Amino acid sequence: MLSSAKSTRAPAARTEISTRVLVGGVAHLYQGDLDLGRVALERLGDLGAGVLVEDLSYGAVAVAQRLEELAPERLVLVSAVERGRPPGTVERRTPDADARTPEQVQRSVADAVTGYLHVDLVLDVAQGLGVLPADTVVVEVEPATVEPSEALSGVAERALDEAVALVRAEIA
Amino acid sequence: MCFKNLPIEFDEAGHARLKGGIPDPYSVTVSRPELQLNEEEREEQIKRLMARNGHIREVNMDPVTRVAGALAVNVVADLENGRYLNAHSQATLFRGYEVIAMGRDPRDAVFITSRACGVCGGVHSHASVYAIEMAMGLAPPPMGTVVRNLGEAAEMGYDNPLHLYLLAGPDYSEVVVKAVNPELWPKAERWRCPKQEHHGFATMAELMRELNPLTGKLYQEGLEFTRLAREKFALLHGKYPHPQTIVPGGVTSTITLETLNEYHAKLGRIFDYAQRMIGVWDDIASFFYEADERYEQVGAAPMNFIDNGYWDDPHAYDATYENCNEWGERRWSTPGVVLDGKLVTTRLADINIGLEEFVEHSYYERWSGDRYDAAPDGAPLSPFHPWNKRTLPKPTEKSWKDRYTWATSPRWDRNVMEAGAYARLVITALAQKEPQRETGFVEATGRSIKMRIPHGFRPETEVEWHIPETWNAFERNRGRAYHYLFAQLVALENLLEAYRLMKTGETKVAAVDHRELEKAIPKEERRGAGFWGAGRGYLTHWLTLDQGKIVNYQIVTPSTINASPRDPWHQPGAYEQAVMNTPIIEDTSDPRKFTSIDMLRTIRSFDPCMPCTTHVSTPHGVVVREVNTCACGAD
Repeated sequence: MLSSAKSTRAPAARTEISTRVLVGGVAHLYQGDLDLGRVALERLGDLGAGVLVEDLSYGAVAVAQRLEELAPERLVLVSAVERGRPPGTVERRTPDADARTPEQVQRSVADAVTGYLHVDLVLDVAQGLGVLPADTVVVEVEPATVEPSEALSGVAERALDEAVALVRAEIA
Repeated sequence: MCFKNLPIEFDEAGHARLKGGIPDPYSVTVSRPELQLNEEEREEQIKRLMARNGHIREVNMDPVTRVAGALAVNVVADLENGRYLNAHSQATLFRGYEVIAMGRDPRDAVFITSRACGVCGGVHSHASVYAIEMAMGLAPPPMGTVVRNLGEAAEMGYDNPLHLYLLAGPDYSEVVVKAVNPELWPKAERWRCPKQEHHGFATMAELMRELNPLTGKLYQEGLEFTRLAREKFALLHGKYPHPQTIVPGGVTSTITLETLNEYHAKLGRIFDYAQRMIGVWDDIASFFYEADERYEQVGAAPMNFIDNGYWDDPHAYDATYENCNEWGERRWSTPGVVLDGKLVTTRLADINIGLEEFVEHSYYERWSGDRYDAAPDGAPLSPFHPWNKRTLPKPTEKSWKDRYTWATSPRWDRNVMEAGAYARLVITALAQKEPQRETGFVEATGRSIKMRIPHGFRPETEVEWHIPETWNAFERNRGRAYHYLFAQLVALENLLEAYRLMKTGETKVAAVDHRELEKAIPKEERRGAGFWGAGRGYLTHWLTLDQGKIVNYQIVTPSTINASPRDPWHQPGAYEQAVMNTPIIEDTSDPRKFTSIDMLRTIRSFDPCMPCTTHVSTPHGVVVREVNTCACGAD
C-alpha cells in the first residue's frame, strides 16, 4: 500500500524486476504539442535491457502506484509543459528536492483523481506518497500550439529531436 | 397520480395524458409550485437585517470543491445569529459535449461524452450507449448486460471511497477539526467509538487522525481500494477511465472464466473493507450529533430524491422505451422519485416526462421550436424537456438576480430535487420492488435495507441501513458508505449470474458484431434515452438521430441537479437550499477567522463534481492551477 514519504516500498512485481530505469511520457493525446511526451516514446522505441519505456499519461495516483510496483532506480519523464518559455525550449529539470507539505500534495491528489494530467502532478503525488525515485529527471519542451491536432507543430518537431537525444543521454 | 404541478393526468390504464382545458399548460406562469418565500421577499429580509446590524457578511468561497475547482458559492452569513441568509451556487466553467456531439455518427457520442467527467470514467459511456441502443433498437444479450453491471459496480467501488476518504474525509480529519472546531477535539479524545470492532479505532480522535490526508491509514487505504476497483473495471473493459468496449447492443470485451475468477478474487477483498467503511461513517455521524445536536441541521434538506435506478436485470432489459417501466422496476436499485420522504413513482416513463430543464438564471439562451409534444409512448412532453431542449450558450455578466452560472435548473414536476448514490438506497428501501434474488444478499424492508455480507476474514454478517429522520450532510456521507457495500453485493450477484450464463453457454456479449454496427444505424428520425446513474446519482443522456447523425444531444448529470441555480419561480437549487438550512456552528467570535466550514461540509457532502455539471470546454483546454486538463476537459 502506498504510504507517506517515510514508508518502505513494496517489492517490485516479479515480471518487471529488471526495471532499472523507467522512461515515461506524460502527454495529452492529439492535443497539439502537448502530445509530445507520447510521440517521444514512439521515437525512442526499445532502449534495451533494464530500461522500460512506458506511457504515463494517466492519473498521477495511478502513476504513483505503478512506480510503487516497478520501483525503478531512475525515472526519466518527458513531456511538453507550458511555462511561458519561448516555444520549442527544451529544458532538463530535476524535481524540487524539498518535500511538499501534506496540503500541497492533497491538492495535487485531488486534481489528479479528477482527471487533471500534468507532469508536476506526477512529481507532487509520487513524492508525497514516497515512491518518487531519488534520481528523477524531467525533459520538458515548451509547446508552440495546444489546439487539438494529431500532428506536432514544426517548432515542437524540431524540439522533439533534441528532447529525444537528451533522454538517450540520460540513460546512456 | 404523481404530478401535482405539471398538467398531466393518467387514464384508467395508467397512460399519461395532458389535462384538458388549460391554455398554454406548460407555461411557467400557469403550472407553478407552491412557494414558501419568493426571491424578492428573501432579498428584502436580508436588506432589513443588514441595515440593522454589522454582523452580516457576504462571503465568496471559490473553489469549494476538492475537485477541479469549478464550483463557487456566494453566501450571506449572519455571524451573530449563526445563519446563512442567502446562497448562490455558481458553476464557473463552460464546457460543451452536447454541442460537440451534434452532427456526428452516434457511435462517436460514446467516446466524446465519456470525457464529460474525469472522475466518472465509465458512467457517461454507459448512459450514452443506453440512449443510442434505444434509438437503434438493439438489446444486448444477457451476458452483455451482466458485464456492464459488473463494470459499473466496480466503478462505484472506485468512486465512493474516493469521495469519502480523499475528497470529503479531510473535513473530518484531525488536522481540520483541530483547526476549525478545536472545541471538539477534547471530546473526540474521550469519545469511545461504538463501532470499534468494525474499524479498529478506540476513540474518535484516533479515527480522525487516520483521516488525515496522506498520513492517515484510512486515507491511504482509500487510495488502495480505488486502485483495486480500477483493476476490476479494467479486467472487464481493458482500461479505466473512458473504456472503449461499451457499444450499442452490448460490449466488445472477451469474457472468459479466468476474467470472472480474477474479478471474483478482487471482489472478495472488498467485503471486510466495506464493513470498516460503514463503521467509520456511522461513528462520525454519531459523534457529531452527540457533540452538538445542531450538526443534525448541517446540510439539512427535504427528502426530495430522483434516480433512474441502476444495474439492469439481464433477462428483463430490452432497450425499448415502451417497456421501460417494466425493465426499470427490475433494476437492482429501483428507479423513482421521492417528495418529502414519500415515494411518488417508480416508473421510468414518469421520471422522464416529469423532468424539465430551465435556463432563466444560467448563461444560456432559451431555445425556440419544440421538436416533440409527446414521448415515444404518447405521454405529453414539456417544451422544457431535454428531448426539446437545445444547448445555446450565451455568456453574460454575472448577476445574482439574473444569470450567474453555467449549470441549468433541472426540476421534476417543478420541484427542486436532489441526486445522490444514497437516493438509490432511499428509493429501493421504500419501493420494495428489488426483485428478491436467489442469493438474498439485499433486502428492502420499506424503511431500511438489509445487506448480508459474505465472510471474508470476518465472519458472515448482516448490516442494516435505515432511512434517516433528518436528511443532512452526515447522512449523505453515511448513505454513500452503505451504497459502497450495496454496489459490491450487486457485483457479487451479477458475478454469480455470469458464472451461470457461462455454464449454460450464453456467452454472447453483443447483439451485433461491432464491425456491423454501422449497418444498424437507422436513417429515419429516432430518439433514445440512457436512463442511468453515476457515483453521484441520477444521470441521463437523451439523443435524437436523423439521417444516421445526431441532431440533438442532452445530458443531465447529478451535479447539474444539485448545483442548479434558482428556477423560474425563484426556488433555490439543492446546494443553495442546503446551505441556507445550515447553522453556523464554528466559533465566530473573531470574524477574521471565519472559515465557513459548516457550509463547506454541506456542499462537499453532495460529492460535487463540477466538470460534468457544465459539459463544455474551450478548444484550448481549461487551465486550473497551471495544470492542463486531460482530454476530459479539453474537447
